[in-house]
Amino acid sequence: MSKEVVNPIRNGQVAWRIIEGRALLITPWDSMMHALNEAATAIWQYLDGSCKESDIAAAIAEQFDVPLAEAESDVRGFLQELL
Amino acid sequence: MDQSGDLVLRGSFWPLERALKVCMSLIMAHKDGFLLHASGLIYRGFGLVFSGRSGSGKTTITGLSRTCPILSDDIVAIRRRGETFLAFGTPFGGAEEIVHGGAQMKACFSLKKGKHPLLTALASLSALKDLLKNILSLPQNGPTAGRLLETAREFTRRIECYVLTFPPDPSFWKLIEAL
Repeated sequence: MSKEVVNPIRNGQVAWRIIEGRALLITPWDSMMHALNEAATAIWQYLDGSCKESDIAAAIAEQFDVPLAEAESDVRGFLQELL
Repeated sequence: MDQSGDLVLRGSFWPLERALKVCMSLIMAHKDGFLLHASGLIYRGFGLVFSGRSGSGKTTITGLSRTCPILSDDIVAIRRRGETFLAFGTPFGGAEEIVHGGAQMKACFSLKKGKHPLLTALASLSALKDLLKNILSLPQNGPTAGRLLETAREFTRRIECYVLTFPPDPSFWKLIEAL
């Protein structure tokens, strides 16, 4: 099982904007555009270095009214994708 | 160099063209602009841009719009000026006669081939996603990418963006004339 990412923070090289509640990202290393879904956008906004992974999962569980275990799995999965 | 002072290149031009496009894209990003895979026309004094990748119908559109001055049939340069955006022709593409200079933009159409002409307005997010897909060479540098994203965002705020479904005939012009 992968370790918890402590106080995850966005890569400062990534250009992003929130538009109509969805994050749109440009990753400069591959010159690609990415459109995040609603849940991923919510997680993305928490990645400012002030929150622990478990705090983010708790916030997502509350915001989207899903079981904590499901939110933890989603947050973990998203963060692993970003690493 | 010909008698008019223009530099005329013969033979294999592709590698130089590719390098010029990348350089121009970078310069444009720093000047609140971008290069767009699009054909461009001037209609009633305003710039109309028809964006899409290869095979989307950019050249078909210019071919079906003979009475309009052509900015480009392949790549259009877009640049912000104050509260609006201007569309400029580029030397890239196959159009034989292009207009020099720019035109204030009226609308941007994302091309889609179909049996019947149809115009669908795009909401901000869809318009921006569509625009970014058709911008040449997204920057490989964070701050520049951020600036481009901001320019593209402003573009979709200020310029009407649509999906234009069109058959290979001029019937789509009725939709554009009604705008």
